[in-house]
Amino acid sequence: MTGAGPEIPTVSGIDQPIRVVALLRVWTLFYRRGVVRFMRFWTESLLGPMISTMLFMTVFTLALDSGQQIAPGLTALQFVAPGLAAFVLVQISFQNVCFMLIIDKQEGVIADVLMAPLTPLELLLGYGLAAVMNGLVVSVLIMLAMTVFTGPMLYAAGYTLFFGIVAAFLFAMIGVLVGLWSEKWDQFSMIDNFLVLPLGLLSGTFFTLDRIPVNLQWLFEANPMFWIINGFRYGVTGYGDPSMVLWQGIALLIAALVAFLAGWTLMARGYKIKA
Amino acid sequence: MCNMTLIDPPLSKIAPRQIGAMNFLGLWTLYSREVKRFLNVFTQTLMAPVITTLLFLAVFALALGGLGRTVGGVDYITFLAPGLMMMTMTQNSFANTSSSILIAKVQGNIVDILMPPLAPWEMTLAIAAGGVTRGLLVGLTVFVAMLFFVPSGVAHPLSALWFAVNACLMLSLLGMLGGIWAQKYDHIAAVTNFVITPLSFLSGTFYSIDRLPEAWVAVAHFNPFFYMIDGFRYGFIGHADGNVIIGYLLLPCVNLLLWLLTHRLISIGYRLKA
Repeated sequence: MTGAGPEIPTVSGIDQPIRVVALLRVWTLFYRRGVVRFMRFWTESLLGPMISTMLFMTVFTLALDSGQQIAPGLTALQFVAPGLAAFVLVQISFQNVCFMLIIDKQEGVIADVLMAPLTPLELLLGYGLAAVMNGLVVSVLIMLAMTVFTGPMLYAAGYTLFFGIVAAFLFAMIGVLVGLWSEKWDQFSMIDNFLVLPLGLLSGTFFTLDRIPVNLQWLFEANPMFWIINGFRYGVTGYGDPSMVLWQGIALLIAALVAFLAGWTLMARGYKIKA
Repeated sequence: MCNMTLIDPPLSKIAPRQIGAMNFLGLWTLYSREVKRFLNVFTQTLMAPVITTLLFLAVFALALGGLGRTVGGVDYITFLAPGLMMMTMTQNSFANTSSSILIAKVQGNIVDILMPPLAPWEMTLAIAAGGVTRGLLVGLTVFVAMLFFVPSGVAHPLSALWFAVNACLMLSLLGMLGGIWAQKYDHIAAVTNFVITPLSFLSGTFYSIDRLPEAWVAVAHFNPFFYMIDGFRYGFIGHADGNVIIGYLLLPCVNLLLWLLTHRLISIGYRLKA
């Protein structure tokens, strides 16, 4: 992991013209390493989540009383579908960036990436945006496939897009933090299984809050995954309280910014990736 | 894993170990290796499935239960619990044997299993037993945890045990077949995603089989997954959708066939030996 090679010069310091982000460099890391790698394993990375989402939809179709409505004109299936898509989006963005970082660290490839003249910000964006992209591709395909069950739905595309992108970005950044921190798969899967999955499942993906006892509802309302799913669903179906969705959107944006700054700091320090 | 510090004792003191009809020591060693392999990472292999199952129980009970909805004469959550337990057990049994063999193949340490004087049937038994152990251990843990949430007794404990053991064995053997056949992690992920998960999802874990369209009900009656979920649930709630007697007999027959196939593949070293 920490090869005994020559010391890697810190890129930001030495006589380099001031630049914010060099697009080509980010693109190489983003596309060649991130997206291409993801697509090469498409049965696992793309088809797998699609199949499991479809299974959930099938199970719900069969298990629910047909025609059960959540709100006027909104069937339970239509309620669940965008929630599932948003959940998968978050999960993939998170897992993807963790996979990239942990594999690169374990195989020692991270040294090659660190050797390249990339600033910490470029590193962060290269890894992070690839995961965002992959998450978005999968969730768009899932949304399309789910129209088989729900019929076409789109209420306010802007909301869907906003919540989709901010959510993917937030969890890609959290993924960077976890990926940098994890030395073993155990550590990653601990966060994945005991934090991300519970947050996702107990977030109102599958049920409305009125199923929860009133004195416990705040627990759900404080869950960022609930904000994501709520906003995303509002964009798709129009279900939800617009003013609440607005506040949740702002909160998410702030959370994403904080996670981004944290990721940037860790990258700049070379936390667990530089000797 | 294999420490290559071989110190040669004087040759005169070495005599081959006499192995009778059965290599107990080898069998036990391989079995305990299989068990230690998953216990070593128990957060991933035991705790994670237990937590996930409990979450599923909560989510599905909230989303699909409520309003006093009953299925098969019991509360929805009581109906769901044994199904989810079975789903977790089978998925873990499959994951254990398939990943054990595949990782050994990819990392090259499969030779350490092939070299020792173990008969093919001993290998089959030890690895399959490891998978069954994980499945039952996960199932037991889930069961204990569910006691706090699900108000139900066990109507026919022996039936439940019979179906649990048979189901875990079946998926362990399937996992071995998958692990032997697969050459990359991709392959086994594909089998898990496209065969095992759909079968365990769609075979009556979440709903009574009579909710299926007419044609599919007929299909379900040829699906061993249906019998194992249905039979296991019968052990808990005392009500079955299908014929439990068929399940009692069908699963061991399927297991026997899978056993013979696995044994055959290991004997000829299919994708295991050069």
